[in-house]
Parts: sequence; structure tokens; C-alpha cells
Amino acid sequence: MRWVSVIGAMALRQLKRFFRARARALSTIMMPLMWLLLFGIGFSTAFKGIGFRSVIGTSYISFLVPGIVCMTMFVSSFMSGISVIWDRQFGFLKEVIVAPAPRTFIIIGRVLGDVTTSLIQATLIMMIGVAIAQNLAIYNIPIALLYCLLLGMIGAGLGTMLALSINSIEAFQALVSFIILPLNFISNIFYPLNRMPIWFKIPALLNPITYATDALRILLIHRGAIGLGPDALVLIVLASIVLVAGAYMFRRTSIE
Amino acid sequence: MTEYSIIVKDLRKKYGDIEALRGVTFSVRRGEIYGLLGPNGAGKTTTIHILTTVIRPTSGYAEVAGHDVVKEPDEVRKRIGVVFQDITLDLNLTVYENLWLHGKIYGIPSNELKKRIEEVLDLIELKDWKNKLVKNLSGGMKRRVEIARALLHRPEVLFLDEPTLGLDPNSRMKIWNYIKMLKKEYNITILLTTHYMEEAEQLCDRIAIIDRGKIVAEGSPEELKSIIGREVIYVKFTGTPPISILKTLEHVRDIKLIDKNRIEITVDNAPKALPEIIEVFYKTGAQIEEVSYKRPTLNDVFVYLTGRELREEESNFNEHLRMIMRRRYLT
Ligand SMILES: Nc1ncnc2c1ncn2[C@@H]1O[C@H](COP(=O)(O)OP(=O)(O)O)[C@@H](O)[C@H]1O
Ligand SMILES: [Mg+2]
Repeated sequence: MRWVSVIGAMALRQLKRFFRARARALSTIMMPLMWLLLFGIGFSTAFKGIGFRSVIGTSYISFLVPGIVCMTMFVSSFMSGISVIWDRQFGFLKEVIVAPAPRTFIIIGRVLGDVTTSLIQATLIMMIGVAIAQNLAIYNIPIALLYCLLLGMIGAGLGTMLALSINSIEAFQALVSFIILPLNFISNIFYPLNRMPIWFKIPALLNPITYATDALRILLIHRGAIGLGPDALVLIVLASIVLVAGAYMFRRTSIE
Repeated sequence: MTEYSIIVKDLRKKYGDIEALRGVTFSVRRGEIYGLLGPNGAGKTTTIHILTTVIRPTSGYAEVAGHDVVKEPDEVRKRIGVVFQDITLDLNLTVYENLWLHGKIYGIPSNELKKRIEEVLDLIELKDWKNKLVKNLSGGMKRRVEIARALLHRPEVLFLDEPTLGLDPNSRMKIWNYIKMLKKEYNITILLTTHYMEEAEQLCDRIAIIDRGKIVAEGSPEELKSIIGREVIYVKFTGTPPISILKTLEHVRDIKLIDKNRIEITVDNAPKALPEIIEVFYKTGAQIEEVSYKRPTLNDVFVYLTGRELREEESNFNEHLRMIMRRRYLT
């Protein structure tokens, strides 16, 4: 299939653009870094000795690192969907639309490229987390990154779909800040799933970030509430649905 | 292989209540440069968009390189190169990267691609610029890169939507030269749109004049000018002009007094009419001070057919605004 190289080329293009816009990359990584350093360290020193350990079995900062890594992964890949809007405004989308290459391959390439850039950011956060939390199971990081990859596909797919349906940078940014904050809080990023009241647990279980975070906790601090198998299953199913839907939307997009 | 590369029959396009195309019909022969000449809003871009499969027509039939643009868009896409009215390059990639990405998206194998990129860079004389980010290039250079990119996959038919819009005269000349060279050396079929009459006249074998979504005339530049069939003679004089006698002359079609000592005489055969006119002036005792004569331009043809100007001033102003807007956006 001569079109397969389209995927690699589009992915490379997304990567190049990312590395050329360092300011933007830095700003997306700042938010999780703040959470990790300011909130994580501040919170755990302020409430030192109150019994976190008895609840979560480890220090709060170690508990937080997997959550913040997943937050980084999801937010950054979701935000990368905005590049579709830029491409529309600056005309490049037309170049893609008149090309004979199947659009499904184009979108897969885009998503892969965007997910890779997010993975780089998540890895950075992970390394900082490893340095400050100290007791993480480093040998499981490669597998943890695979779960991140799945989460990133869901994020990039959803972000692209949102971008395809609204076509305005301002609206996209407004919606992102409207969606991202609740999405981060209605999850297990900051608190353990098994201590949540049921009315909170149900929406948290509808949130893909919850499954990735759970998997990362199992892998990195050996505490989790769901299980590696079910986590993987949910993420794979969701990623497939989102990617198929995203490809469908992208195939039908026009510039009218 | 048919004789025609593009066949368009009764093409219509509605945007809500706006009828952008109201039944457009024309055909472009293989190897020909065909121009759509018309003012802003005439429907040129809409036509290009339909022919390049970017949008669908409301009704009508269009075929490019032997394939129906609605039923077989992918077959059409493989065979066309497009330079849209607005820049569609990735500004954050270099010239080379833009070309490379295009080649990949069009399935050109890597070794072949490298060769072809050098080839097209040679053609547009931008070899020294290949590692520069596109956003740092001038408008004319961006245009040249787009032309190079559109040729990379060796299309049968090339579409150029207002290829020199908003460019300085120098860049315009360069692009005209490339287009002429393409015709000579590649025998590619080109459909270009423009609202500059000199551009249409310089480049096109045949021109369709389009206005308000309809083609109002078609032919070679010479044929179009002969639609008017008239030339205009200006006479500057002193004394009383012999208007009533002039009107009786065989080749004179119309007479207009511009001011009290200048007259505009429309004739259908200037070389024959001129001596007669001079003689009439001479006989009636009016003094001729100056005679000049003007061949019709495509703008005159447009005015003749539509009663309006191609309106270069106004569109220049709009372009100017647009350039400012673009610049603001892009920096
Ligand atoms: N996407 C659109 N939505 C609504 N009206 C449009 C759209 N595109 C073009 N038009 C209208 O269709 C007409 C033809 O436009 P266009 O094809 O761009 O003309 P040209 O390229 O000759 O300047 C104009 O009246 C324009 O306002
Ligand atoms: Mg136009």
C-alpha cells in the first residue's frame, strides 16, 4: 500500500510543527507541572501525618504522579486537535482535501503525530515525578506509557472531532477550559476511586482518564481499584470508537 | 483519450440564496491554456472549487481528465494540480518540507521524490531558499512554491486561481514566464482564473468572460475583441465638428462629443475610416489638431457585454485590504 507512508509523513509534520512552536509546548506542560509541584508538594506537606498513608498506602505525591501524567497526556492530546482549525484558517486543509490520499490515513497520521508529542510531554512529567516521588516502580514505565498512548488517542480523537465541528479558535479554547477542568476533577487523578461516594464514582467511571490513571497506579505504586485488564479493555474500545468516528467526520469535512 | 481535458455543462451552484454559478458551460482542449476572466464575485473560485472536487455543484456536469468530478473525485484528484486563490502552504514548514509532504501525500516514492523536488525548485528558481520557513518568504515566492508543489506529482491538468493576485509587477512577470514555459515544455492543460485582462491576454489561448455566475463570451483574445468589431478614433479639433456629415460615412458607427473640441468616433474599420474622416474635417473647414486611435481591450469587451467595468481599482483596493488582513494574521 503506497498510501501507508502518508501516515508517517503526516505524523512527522505534526511533530515538526510542535517542536517549532516551543512556547506553546512549554505552556501546555506548565499546568501539570504546577499541579505536581505546587499542589502535590504543598498538599502533602501541609497535611503530613494525618493518615494519607493508611488510606492510599503511599505518600500523596506518589499517588498523584500517575494522575498528573495522565492529565498531561489527555489535556495535551485533546488540545492538539486545535491544529485542524489552524489548518483550516491558514488554508493547508485544502491541500489535504484535494489530495488523492485516503483521508482516514491522513487523520491517523495526524493523531499519531499529536499523540507522540503528548507522549513526550507526559514522559517529561513522569521523569520529574519519579525524581520527587522516589518510590515509583520505574521498571513499569514502558508499559505505563502504552496506557498513556491509548489515552492520548482518545484525547486527540475527541479534540479533533471538536475542532472539526466548531471551526473557531476562540470557541475551541473556551470549550476546552470548560471541559478540561471538570474532566480532570471528576476522575481519580486527585482522590482514590474506592473512597468516592457512588454519585461521584459513576461519572468518574465514564471518564477515560480514570482508567489510564488506575492502570498507571497499579504499575507505578501497586495500588489500583479496577485492574490492568479491564483498564486496557475500556481504553482500547474507547480509542477505537473515537478514532473511527473521528475518521468518519474528517472524511466528510468540507471547506464550504 | 478525448480531445478535451475539461468539460463543463450547465454547472450551477447555490450558497443558500446566493446563486454563485447560474449555468456555466465550457470545454478546455488538451494542452490548452484556458482563462476565466471576470470581476470579483463572478464565480471563478466557485468553478475552480467544483472542478477540483473541493465542493459539489448544486447541479450540472463536470469532467476533468476524463473523470466525473462528483462520481469519481479520487480519480480526478490524482490527475490535477491546484494552486488555490489563497495560500495553502504550511507556513511553519520549510519550502523543502512542504514539497516533501506533498510528495508523500501523493504517494511518490522517496528516491523519485528527491529528484523531482530538485527539478521543480530549479524551475521556480528557489533552490537557495529550500531550507527557509515558508512564513519568511515573500508573497511572490510563496506563489512560486505553490506552483512547484502543484507540479510535483505531474498532473495532467493544472488549476491556477488568480495566480498573481496582489503581487508586485516583478513577481507577476516571473509567474507569467513560468506558466508560458509550462505550456511549451510540459504540454500540460491549464485552467487559470484572473481579473487582470493583461494576464488573460498574455497567457491564454482561449478566454471565457464570466460575470455574475454566467459565461458571457468565449474565444481567443482576438476573437473576443472582434465581438466589439469596433475601434475608437479620437479627434481633437478647433471649429465646428461636422457631426451630421460624419454620421453618413460608411464605417462610422457612433459619434460622441467628449468636450467642445474633442470627439470620439466609433468605427468598424479604422484604417479605412480614418482617411474619410480627415477628409470630411478638411472639407468643412474644421481644423484637426490631433488624431489618435485605440484598439479595443478585453475590458472594453467586458463593458460592451455587461455594461460594467472589470473594476480593477475597486478590486485592487479589496486586495489591498485582504493583504493587510493576511499579514496581520500570519505574523
Ligand atoms: N462559501 C460561500 N458562502 C456563501 N457565498 C459564497 C461562498 N463562496 C462564494 N460565495 C459567493 O458566490 C459568488 C461567487 O464567488 P467566487 O466564486 O468566490 O467569485 P470569484 O472567485 O470570481 O471572485 C460571490 O457572490 C460570493 O460572495
Ligand atoms: Mg476568486
